[in-house]
Amino acid sequence: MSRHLKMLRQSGLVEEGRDEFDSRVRIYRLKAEAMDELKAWLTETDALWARQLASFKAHLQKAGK
Amino acid sequence: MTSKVYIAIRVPADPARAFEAFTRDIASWWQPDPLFQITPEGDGELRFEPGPDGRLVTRLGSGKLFEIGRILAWEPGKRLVFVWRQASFSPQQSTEVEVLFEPVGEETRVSIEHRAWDTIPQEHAARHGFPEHVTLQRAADWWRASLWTLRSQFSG
Repeated sequence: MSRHLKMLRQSGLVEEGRDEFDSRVRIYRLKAEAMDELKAWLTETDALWARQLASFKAHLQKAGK
Repeated sequence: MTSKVYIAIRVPADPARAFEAFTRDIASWWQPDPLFQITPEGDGELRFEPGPDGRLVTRLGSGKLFEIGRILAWEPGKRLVFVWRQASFSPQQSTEVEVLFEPVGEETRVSIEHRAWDTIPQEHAARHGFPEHVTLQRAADWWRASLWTLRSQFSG
């Protein structure tokens, strides 16, 4: 698996990053132009859940302990 | 091929209460947005229907009930998995959301993994009626704003 990912990295199809909240998680981002749609989905879905989780947290804070 | 989005946040409640609030109160905390609509009529009022044939549905303004997806795992205080399909997805397209509730001291780390297979929505950006770069710009703005909110909450 990691060999395949290395090949993808070397070919410039993906780039590697670390998860902001969990250092165990590696995130591979696709770079190919052909994958623009996938990237759009990832970006939108990222934004969607960031927003929803922030709102969920605010909901719990409002409700108190 | 699997693609996934992963995000986590810490909330001021124990896992049992976090799970309960996440599922029971989703209509209260869900934030609809014109850009990321679940259906062309908007997001509606979301509701989890637990049970063997459990599902996540939303009641639209027209009164119509739209099924977002089946509940695949319902483990109160621990884990929740459900299918996520927006109205614009083709019949072959499906994604899955897994929510984990893990205790951190007296609080809970809530993480979301949203997985898609070879099922990335066709012309996803175009469907919103915006040129793609505009959509991405909007999404990037949001992401920045959301991170800012998260950071201010963590540092507070």
